[in-house]
Amino acid sequence: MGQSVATWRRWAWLTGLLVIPLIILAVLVYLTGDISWIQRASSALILMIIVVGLHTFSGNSGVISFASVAFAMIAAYTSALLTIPVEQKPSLFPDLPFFLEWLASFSVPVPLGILMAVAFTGLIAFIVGIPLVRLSGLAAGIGTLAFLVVVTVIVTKWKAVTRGESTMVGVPKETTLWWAVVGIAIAIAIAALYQMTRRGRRLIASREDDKAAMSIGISIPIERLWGWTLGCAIAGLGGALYGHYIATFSATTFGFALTFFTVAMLVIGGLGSLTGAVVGVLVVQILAEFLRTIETQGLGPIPMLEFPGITEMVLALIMLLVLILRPAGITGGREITTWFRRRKSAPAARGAST
Amino acid sequence: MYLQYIIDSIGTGSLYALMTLGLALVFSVMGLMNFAYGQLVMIGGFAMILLRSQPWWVLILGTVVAVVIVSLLMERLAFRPVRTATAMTMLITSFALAQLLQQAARVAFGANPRPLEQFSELSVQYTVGDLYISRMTLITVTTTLVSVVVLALLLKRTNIGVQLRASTEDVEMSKLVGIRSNRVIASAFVISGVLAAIVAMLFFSTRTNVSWSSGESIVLIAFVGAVIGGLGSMVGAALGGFLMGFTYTMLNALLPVELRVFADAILYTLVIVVLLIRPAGIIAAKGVRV
Repeated sequence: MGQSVATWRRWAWLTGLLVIPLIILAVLVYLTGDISWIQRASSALILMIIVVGLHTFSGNSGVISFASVAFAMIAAYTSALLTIPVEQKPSLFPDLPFFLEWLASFSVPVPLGILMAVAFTGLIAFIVGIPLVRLSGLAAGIGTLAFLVVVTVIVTKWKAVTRGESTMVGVPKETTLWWAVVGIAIAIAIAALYQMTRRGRRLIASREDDKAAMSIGISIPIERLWGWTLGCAIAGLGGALYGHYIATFSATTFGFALTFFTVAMLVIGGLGSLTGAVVGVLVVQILAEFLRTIETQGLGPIPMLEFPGITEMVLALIMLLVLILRPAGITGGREITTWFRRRKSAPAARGAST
Repeated sequence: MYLQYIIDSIGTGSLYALMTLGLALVFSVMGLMNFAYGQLVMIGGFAMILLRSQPWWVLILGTVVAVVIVSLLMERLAFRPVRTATAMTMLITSFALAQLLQQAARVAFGANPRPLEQFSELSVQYTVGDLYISRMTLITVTTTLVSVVVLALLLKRTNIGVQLRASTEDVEMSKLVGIRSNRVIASAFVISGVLAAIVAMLFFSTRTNVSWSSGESIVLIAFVGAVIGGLGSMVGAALGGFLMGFTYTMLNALLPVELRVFADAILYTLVIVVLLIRPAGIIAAKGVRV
């Protein structure tokens, strides 16, 4: 790949510093043996994959995208269609259109299904990315939001293939905590590598100053298309894993609510850094679980609060406070490695690791 | 037959145009896409439920006052602190605020939609030849036209309107000539609130219930309409909203039945196409960076 030894060392540091604490956390949760905690940790890690995918595009390019959940949805449905056991397919999908009839004749093991789903998602992302990455600012926000609506409508209404508003059932439930750990490790490793290689640096350069980037010959649409395709494929990995984790899902599982949460987690963590994506998910998820516990069973001296929606309400309030008090997010858009470097009192090279 | 579709589409289009205006006004003054705008309409709907048994003028006045108060609080508590932050942070702030208001409504009014007793006097139908025009369509179109004219007069002829437009052109410069931006922005939120209340009354009069999630679809329409119409331009925003509503109703009427369920997908694909051809909107205001 032609990367220098120093780049690889930086990559190893960033990946290690982010992944190892997550592995330790997962092991600790596993050791408690509490099923509900293991479930919460698994879904938080899977969600983190989607947010890392979002960061790979939005964080590095500075262009907002509301479409990552749409790609997670595409991947979840693709992997489901590929892995549902052959004998169940005729009853679940009796009216497949002629050009998709071949789907009913086979099924693949789950890991292969996930890989194929990620590849397919990447392909779709590449195709729709060609026009979409030309948009910036609010137009990009609207364009990607419109894409999310289009995907949602197709998934909800194309009954023959997606079972429409009825939930997808019969999906093999194979994602475990360890699958989620492997998934997030892969996602972080790839995202970290991308933003340290030449392609990623060019995209970051276009975020920092588009005119300067263009003046040194960077083609912004091409760099954005790379980041977009990679980011959407990573979101697809999260989506496919999620599908095999909850096993029954519908279009509402991947709706505006999830989109809001993923974007909010990224911004709260700190837009522009991979560390921000990881920290944002951890903080928001821990907070959400804490609140949900209070809502459903009370916690210590705090009585149970039986109002549907109180968790989401308090969560939104806290997000609002974070945004008002710390608009650049918890990490301020810096990577975890910069803190370590600063401690060694070396010149703090901010640009070198963001 | 087609004329009938066009009449219905004009009705929806006018309502959508009104929806986008309130959003576009705030955007043009402070560069904020206020995602919580739809929740103002939702709050207006709940105000209508609470005031349903009152005389009509109390209902109208009460709804407007309630929505304007929430709109002002929004500006003061949430948006003023992030005014200097990036556009992305402001957008997410409004997202969080929308979520907060929505969930608060869910806690306060319950998860199930609340029934809203119909206004029977509004469902009268007039026949002209073989065309049907409901009184509601007439009211919607008239209200939209009146609101647009009043808004235009307000912006052109009044002191605060001139200050608003000056801030839209150049915030820094307008501050230098002594315009108090806090007051100007607050007044934009007041006008935006009044528009949201009007939208709420027109929108929910044709519905049978109000739910905590009612605001979501409205803000999506307004948001998209404002951007494709042309940000920073009031005429553009109204046009964008109108086109959204008009196209949507026409698609629903003209598409073959089996494709009708995909009307939304087609509409939003068209939106992407419009954005690609004119990223700054159909009527782009000068100097607006999108």
